[in-house]
Amino acid sequence: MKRILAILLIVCMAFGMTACGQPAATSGEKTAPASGAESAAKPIKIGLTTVLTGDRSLEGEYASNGIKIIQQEINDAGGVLGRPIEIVIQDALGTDVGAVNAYRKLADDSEIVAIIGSDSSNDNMAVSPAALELKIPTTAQGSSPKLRDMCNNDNPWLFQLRACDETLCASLMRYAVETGGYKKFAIIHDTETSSADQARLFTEGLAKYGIEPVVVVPFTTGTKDFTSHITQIQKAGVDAIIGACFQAEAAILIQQIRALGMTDIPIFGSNAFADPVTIRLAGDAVNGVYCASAWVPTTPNPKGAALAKKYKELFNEDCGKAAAQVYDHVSIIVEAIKRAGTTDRAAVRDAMNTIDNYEGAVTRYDLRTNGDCGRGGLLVKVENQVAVVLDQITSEKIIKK
Amino acid sequence: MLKTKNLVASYGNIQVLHNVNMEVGDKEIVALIGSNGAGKTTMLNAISGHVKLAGQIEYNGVGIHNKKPHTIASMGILQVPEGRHVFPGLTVEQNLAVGTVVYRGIKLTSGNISADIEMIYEIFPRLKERRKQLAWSLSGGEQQMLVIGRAMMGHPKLLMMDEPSMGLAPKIIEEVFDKIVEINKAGTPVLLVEQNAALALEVSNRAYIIERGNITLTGDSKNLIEDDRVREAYLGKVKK
Amino acid sequence: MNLQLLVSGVSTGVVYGLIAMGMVLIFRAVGVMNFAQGEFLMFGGYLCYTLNRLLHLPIGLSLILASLLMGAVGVIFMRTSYWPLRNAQARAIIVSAMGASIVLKEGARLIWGSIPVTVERVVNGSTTLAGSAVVQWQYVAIIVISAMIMALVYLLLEKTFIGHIMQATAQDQYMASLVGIPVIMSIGLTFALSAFLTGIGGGLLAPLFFLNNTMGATAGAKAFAAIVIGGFGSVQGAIIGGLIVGLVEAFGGAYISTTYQLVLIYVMLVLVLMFRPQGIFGGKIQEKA
Ligand SMILES: Nc1ncnc2c1ncn2[C@@H]1O[C@H](COP(=O)(O)OP(=O)(O)OP(=O)(O)O)[C@@H](O)[C@H]1O
Ligand SMILES: [Mg+2]
Repeated sequence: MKRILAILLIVCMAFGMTACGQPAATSGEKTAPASGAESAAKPIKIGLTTVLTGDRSLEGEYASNGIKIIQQEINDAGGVLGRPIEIVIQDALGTDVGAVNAYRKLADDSEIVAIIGSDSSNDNMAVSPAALELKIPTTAQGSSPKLRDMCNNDNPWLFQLRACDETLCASLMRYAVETGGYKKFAIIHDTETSSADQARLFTEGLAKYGIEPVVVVPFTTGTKDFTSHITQIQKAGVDAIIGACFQAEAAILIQQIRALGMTDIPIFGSNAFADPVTIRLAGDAVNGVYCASAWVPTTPNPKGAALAKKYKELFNEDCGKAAAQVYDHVSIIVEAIKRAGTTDRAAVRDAMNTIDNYEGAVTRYDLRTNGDCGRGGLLVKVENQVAVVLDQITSEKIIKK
Repeated sequence: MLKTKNLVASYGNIQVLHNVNMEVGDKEIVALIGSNGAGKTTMLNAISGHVKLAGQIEYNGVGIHNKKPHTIASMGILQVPEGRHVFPGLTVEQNLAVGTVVYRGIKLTSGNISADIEMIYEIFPRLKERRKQLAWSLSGGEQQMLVIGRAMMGHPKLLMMDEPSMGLAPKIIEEVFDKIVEINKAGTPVLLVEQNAALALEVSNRAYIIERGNITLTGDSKNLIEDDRVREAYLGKVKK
Repeated sequence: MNLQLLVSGVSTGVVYGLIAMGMVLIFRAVGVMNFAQGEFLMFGGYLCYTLNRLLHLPIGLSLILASLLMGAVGVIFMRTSYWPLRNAQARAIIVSAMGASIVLKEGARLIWGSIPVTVERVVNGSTTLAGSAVVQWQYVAIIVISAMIMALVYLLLEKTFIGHIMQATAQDQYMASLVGIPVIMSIGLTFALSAFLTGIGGGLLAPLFFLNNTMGATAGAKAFAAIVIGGFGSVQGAIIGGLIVGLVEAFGGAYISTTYQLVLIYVMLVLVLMFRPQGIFGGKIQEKA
């Protein structure tokens, strides 16, 4: 009897686990065609893999919200090819294996025209072989140079709809050295792949000026107390700090740098450093942080500003990067479907390569080659807990064979 | 005061007790005698609510066969189980104090129980010497004394003892049995399980012989000592 | 510098101690490590956030109420993930606790979202000691409050009747029920105490490290290391082990390597297992031969 009970309990537990993963996903699947297209036309399906559960679930929250906005906007405007669109969401779990599983689940549905990958170069590179094998147009949110080269050289089905980090990191370093006049830098970064890559790009950016960082302090994701790390930086005696990591760590890091007495030292950081979440958590400590960011809600870009306003109204939060990115990805896929005049995957892929000078909410896009399609970013400084845009960064598309 | 009617108990699908009818009177010491595996411990555990059973157990006219173990204990039925179950990480004194939980309930303090504790120390002076020692460090005999003393701290209305003589030196066995008689004289009925039949028959008023879960013989202890079947099977003596 | 590291090491150490002590209480009561203990820290933090930031109660009151509510969470946890399996094998209980930790983690995400949140500090500001060491008062508050809570729980367990009842139940459930202890209630109390103790840490850490729904896993793993170092089943060991882990992390990070902070803890763990497998305080209750 007890044994049966035990087994039952474990089954319930297992159910609980899967049930927990499910609701967001199914609710995603059920964001049925909104009003507008009153006709009984069957919706056109687009897939999205994003992280709904686990450590990186913040991404999924932003992405799901961004999807709600763009889906409604497109369907209110009559959809595409006379049909409404429907976004099907699968949980990528925050691991590359999870991303591939989610991708393959979506790919099983032959009605899905294209798939949007998660906000991680690692995940995007992991699904690349599946995209190539199954011949599905796939968009990537990751920004690493490795991903860019893969899109350009190896996989015609994969598009990096994002400005590559190389551009952004280099311009932030240019600003730090040329405008800021700083010479002695400490680099502190998460050892996780994309942050480590960015740290490397920052180092390369400095190297152009013959500058080597005085000290490089790596840490592992989830680090909470940075006293040891900051103590090392204090000992090194630098005049600026460069950071690369995600929001939660960035906020703690910034706060502790200030709390341990380096109240005025300039901090140059990766995307996350001027993210709304970081600003809200770190409060005043974040003032004086510089960032070359793909997206901030204070963007001067009219389409982006409109999205930020709408997002704030609907969800009472500042619009995060993943929300703005999926917004653009859906728009671009819909544009490609319109140009192709069909939902045939190969035709849509070809149509994507014809898109150039496309104004999105995040930036302008050029899809004539598959990598580094986002054409710019924003150089921002946080003042009074607001990301103030100092400059818009644009650059030539980088293509490396 | 305690009466079992057609008590049946099984572990899984192996039946261990077969329609056992037994009775313990108000002032008696009743012995339950049987060889290994006969079902003596099962009998006590059935009464104290630790074994699934069929049939009835009445205590002062109230059915207790469906009640939870701690409820049965709180009615005054306290069992001293076989195998020296002291609370090893508590001191002697703390072990004794925990014995009062049965009438006091879960409270922040144990109240004034020094008189009761002194009484136990009078019966078992050795415990007094070891009062601050952790119970695991006591000798086997001292542990047995502690377990009996702890049961007495709960003011039992019926004391059930499972093989109190097990593993003890003859001198200590004698001591412990003297105390059992003393406790009984003070007004507490005792249900005594023993393999040492001679000793059990000596101190008890009545006795039941249990064989493979069946009561095969019952009567006044002084008569059973003379019974041939008992002499042969349990006292290791040849027929007169 | 060293003073700065010392304060940070001790304050994270005491929080690991809170988790480890909570784990030990449950381990002693039911003989199984509770792998959802880290989630108690997270959940307690979010309850504190709800009271402090959403209902606008003062932080002191929020901390107290949140940890009391955690007591109730502990009881519910016990009734759902332990009690139905109490006669099953230990591994079934471990799996069930791991399941419960996922339920708590993802439940927190559904209730409070994925965006990290924070609560007010107990004390604001910082002070400079010995010329250059900056110490935030919140660190000091964490040390003082955690030490008080640990002392309180220790006194409750060792010096009061109810504490002895809980210990007795932990040591021998069968005998406990024979002396008239309602075992389910006594074990429920132990789980409540354990969740209370660990839960308060969440609200204390939040202003420094923020709350997110996955913070429990790393903290729980470090607390587990603390238990092994301190000695399985020993309350003092859990506290000392927690401090050791916190200090190794702080000083090892500054003088050896920040990348390998976690590795340092595991090296420490291996050394202890090699040279003193029972841990520093292991073996208070021995089996008598
Ligand atoms: N928990 C259990 N599960 C299965 N069988 C059991 C269990 N406890 C006892 N038994 C079986 O029930 C029968 C009676 O056991 P019990 O412990 O009542 O014997 P006993 O008369 O007390 O013996 P002893 O004098 O050796 O203590 C034995 O055959 C024993 O193997
Ligand atoms: Mg027996």
